[in-house]
Amino acid sequence: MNKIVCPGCNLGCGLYMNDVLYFRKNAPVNSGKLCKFGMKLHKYEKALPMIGGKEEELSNVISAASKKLAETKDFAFVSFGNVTCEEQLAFTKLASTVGSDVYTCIPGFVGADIEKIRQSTEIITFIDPYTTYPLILRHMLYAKENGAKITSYYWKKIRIADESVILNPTEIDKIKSIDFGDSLVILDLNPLNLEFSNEIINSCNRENIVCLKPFLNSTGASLLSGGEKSIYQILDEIKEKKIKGLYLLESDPRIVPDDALLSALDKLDVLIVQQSAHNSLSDRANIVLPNDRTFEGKGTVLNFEGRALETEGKTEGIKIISEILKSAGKEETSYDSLHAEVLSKLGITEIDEYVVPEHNLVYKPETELKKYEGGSHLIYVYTPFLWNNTIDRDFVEISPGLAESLNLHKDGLLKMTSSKGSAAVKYKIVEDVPDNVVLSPMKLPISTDVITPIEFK
Amino acid sequence: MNIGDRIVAWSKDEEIKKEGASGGLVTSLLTAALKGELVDEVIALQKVSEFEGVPIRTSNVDEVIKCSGSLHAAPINLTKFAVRFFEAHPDGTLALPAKPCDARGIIEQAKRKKINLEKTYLIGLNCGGTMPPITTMKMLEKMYEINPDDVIEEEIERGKLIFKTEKEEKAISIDELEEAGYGRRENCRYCETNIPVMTDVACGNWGAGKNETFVEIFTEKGLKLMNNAIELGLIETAPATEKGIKIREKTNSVMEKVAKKWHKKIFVPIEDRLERFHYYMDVMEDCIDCEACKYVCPVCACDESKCIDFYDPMDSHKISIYHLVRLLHISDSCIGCGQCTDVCPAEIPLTILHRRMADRIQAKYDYIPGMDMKIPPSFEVE
Amino acid sequence: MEEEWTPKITLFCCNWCSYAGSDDAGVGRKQQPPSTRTIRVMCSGRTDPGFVLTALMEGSDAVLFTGCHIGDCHYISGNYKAKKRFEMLKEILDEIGLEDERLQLQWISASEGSEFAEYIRKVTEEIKAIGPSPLRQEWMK
Ligand SMILES: Cc1cc2nc3c(=O)[nH]c(=O)nc-3n(C[C@H](O)[C@H](O)[C@H](O)COP(=O)(O)OP(=O)(O)OC[C@H]3O[C@@H](n4cnc5c(N)ncnc54)[C@H](O)[C@@H]3O)c2cc1C
Ligand code: SF4
Ligand code: FES
Repeated sequence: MNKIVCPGCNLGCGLYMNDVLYFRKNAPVNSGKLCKFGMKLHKYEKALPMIGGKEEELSNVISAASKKLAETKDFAFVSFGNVTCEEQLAFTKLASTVGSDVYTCIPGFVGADIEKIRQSTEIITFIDPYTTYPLILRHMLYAKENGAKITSYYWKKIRIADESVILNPTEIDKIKSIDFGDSLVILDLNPLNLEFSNEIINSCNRENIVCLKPFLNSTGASLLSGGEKSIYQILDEIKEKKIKGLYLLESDPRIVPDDALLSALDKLDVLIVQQSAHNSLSDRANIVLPNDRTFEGKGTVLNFEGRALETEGKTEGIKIISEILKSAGKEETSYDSLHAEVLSKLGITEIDEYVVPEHNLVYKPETELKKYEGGSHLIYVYTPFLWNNTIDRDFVEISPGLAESLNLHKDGLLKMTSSKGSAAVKYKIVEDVPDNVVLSPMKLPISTDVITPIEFK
Repeated sequence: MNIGDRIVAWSKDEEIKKEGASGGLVTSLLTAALKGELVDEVIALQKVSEFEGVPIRTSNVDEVIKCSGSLHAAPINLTKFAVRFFEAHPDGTLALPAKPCDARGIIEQAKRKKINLEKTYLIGLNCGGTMPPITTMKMLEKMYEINPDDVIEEEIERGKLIFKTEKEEKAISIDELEEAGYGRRENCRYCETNIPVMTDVACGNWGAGKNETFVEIFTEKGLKLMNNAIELGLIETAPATEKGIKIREKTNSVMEKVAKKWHKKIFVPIEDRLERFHYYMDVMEDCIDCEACKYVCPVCACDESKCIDFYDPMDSHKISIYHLVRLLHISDSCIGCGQCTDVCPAEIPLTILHRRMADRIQAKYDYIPGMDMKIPPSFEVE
Repeated sequence: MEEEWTPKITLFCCNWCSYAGSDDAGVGRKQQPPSTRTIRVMCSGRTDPGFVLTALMEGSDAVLFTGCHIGDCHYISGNYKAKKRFEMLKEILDEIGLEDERLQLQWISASEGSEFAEYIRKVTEEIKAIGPSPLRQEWMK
């Protein structure tokens, strides 16, 4: 059995996997507990090496990629952190051969660790732990059992919270006046709404923030790659022809709420994707290179705490990057040398999953909170799992009041219209959501942003 | 040797004898079963550390040898691994070490045709309980003041839990540890089956001398296992001493009493109906619909699961139908192994909920699951 | 003046006896309260516990299992199965704190129309006395 780390989010749950999945009961983050995502991660369709939509020998695809890298100016490299530190480092080396850096699309940040949640007496949370980062819930429950007071700021009531402040896009400024004091803050740092997390990170003590991220090795990626640009910025620059070539390593820009933004990709001279799964993104790329999924790759990953965890598996992705380096006439690299370099960058000599090393990451961004007009809104309450192809909720959540005012019946559909058109979706009634808000765990074609103004018609 | 015999036995291989928990008998029975072609494959728990074991399925004798020793802080149930074996090899034969809850899970699966019991050699392990690894590591730091990494051996003797490092040895009574919230998993505390009488042979250290295993033979298959290992020259045996037999019986009955006491303490009846209603509502409220409890459940044998059939995450019900169907569905087969509580990310005390239900149904129909091949009451409705 | 509350009672009827019995009650215009929702199943043995639980979760104040008298099942043993299921369900509903009256079993033959009507009246009164099911969400109509 391979000892692996679940790639669902960046909590870093330990697992064993081959034909049977087994829960690692001594894993430091999850103690043998696991959410739905972890249990269903095994099956997906592999991406094959391709050029221009046709399957090709891997070696040919590698030389084609290296040729394109050499001849195309203004290449951007993106890796969100869905690969091991070793692979991220190899990718950073590759980017530097054309004088570029790797963008992770999430600012580097390491905050408080799990122990701090368990020991805290006041917690302020901005996530829905039941659906977004389920394995954080048990640590919150533990704190609560020991008397911690939990206050939640979210679009709906959060059961575990002693006090739920229900947010509404029309009065989003509310979060600016929170008195954080010495409370522990649980937050999600996500490529889609950086301004929201930014507002909070900049208004409280950074050591008190538990900062969860959607991709397993987001932390490791930002430690090893210096590029800081948001996914929106990258798409804009492609549109403006400032970026002409794009190399995506296990990173899918289709996460953006507005699908119209993706048409920028058609403006590229060349799109190279290196990814494990075959999907509509790989169909769109000029060059497709295969890769190991995080749980198939051997190496080191850093979870949200910056805890170094080990996964067992193959090193195919690294070999491919190394081959590209070689055919570009650069120095080859190998797993062993990359691993040694990763350890030295982390300032550790060996991986001990029970110890959280210190990291020196400076948080840079300064952005402004967006403003929303009155009326009703559709809110995209993404979970990291959706981006890993696990969709198990195909309905939105609305209040009993809204259902009543629209005269909806069980098994009926909710109709909504935005500037992009209309949609009719299944819904679930939950108490304590504002009557003018629809929460959708899936991205709907009518969304224009994380928060989209809508009308019910 | 005959069925019903109580003997002591040990491995003839010095290395196995030394590495084994008590004489390496179980390891030698497993390797002998492979060498003598009694079985195609063996399931055993490979040690990663004192606090971690990985179940492996293998036909390689060397790998089995690497699995010797008891892991008290690796609370795994092997049932589903045996089910996977028969899925892959419907006509295969299998041997595995089995704590009472492993054996009971396997028997319940055999009733549901997922395991062929005739082709499964169950080498029973007496069990006084398992411990949750992370809590145990914390306990070592807090109560023993020992670094978990330094532990080289761990043992239970006369109600005391002993940890050894290169330098020292410390013993604390289990009662004291459990009072402080450490020690055995909750379900193990009230588990009344310590000697796995439903297996082919029961092995343990109660009543045995140093580096030997006390064995009680229950079945024809058990005899075959023993004789095969003797013929291959892998084990040695001697009759159990009268004193040994007495010690074993006495310890067993003391453990049973302790378990009953725990049961009483944990399962306080909730007499008031309304209070009961609120208890169930509250306790299940944190469920995140992950279905992990079903995934790990050793007695769940549905191909198409009833509990999921009637359940839709889109429903906004006061209590999850998934859980109610599961409570009903395994009420006659729940063996109280604790796997569901172990796995639940929302820390719902599922084993307690299932046992509350199971205690009612199993008493009502006078049925104890996993002890023999008796037909479960729910079969009449299926 | 507030309207009098009528409970919602879900009635599982087997095709061969109790459904005919309820029909008989209807045809004979025997006075019965408008509290029941009837679900016809081919045999009481088809009444899956999941049906019962769903009915309760979706706002029924009570669920009635009905079928042919023991010995009369069209499929020989369906009602034995129903009885066993009913017994087990009863335990679980009691365990989670639901009142005894909310799940009932009654064997009714095709010709027992007036007994049937009488039975529904009786159950309706019982449920009225204990009020709406605690499993019903406030906003369920
Ligand atoms: C959790 C646990 C509690 C026990 N408690 C008692 C007790 O209270 N009284 C008593 O008399 N005996 C107890 N035993 C049995 C005893 O420790 C020895 O396992 C037994 O005497 C056989 O010794 P051996 O040297 O022949 O076994 P070995 O040759 O060392 O072989 C042991 C076998 O058990 C398997 N194993 C180890 N850990 C586990 C586990 N957690 N679950 C399933 N299989 C496992 C290994 O894979 C190996 O194949 C317990 C065993 C376990 C695993
Ligand atoms: S494991 Fe826990 S959270 Fe998951 S479905 Fe079961 S009870 Fe719910
Ligand atoms: S046919 Fe009426 S109960 Fe079976």
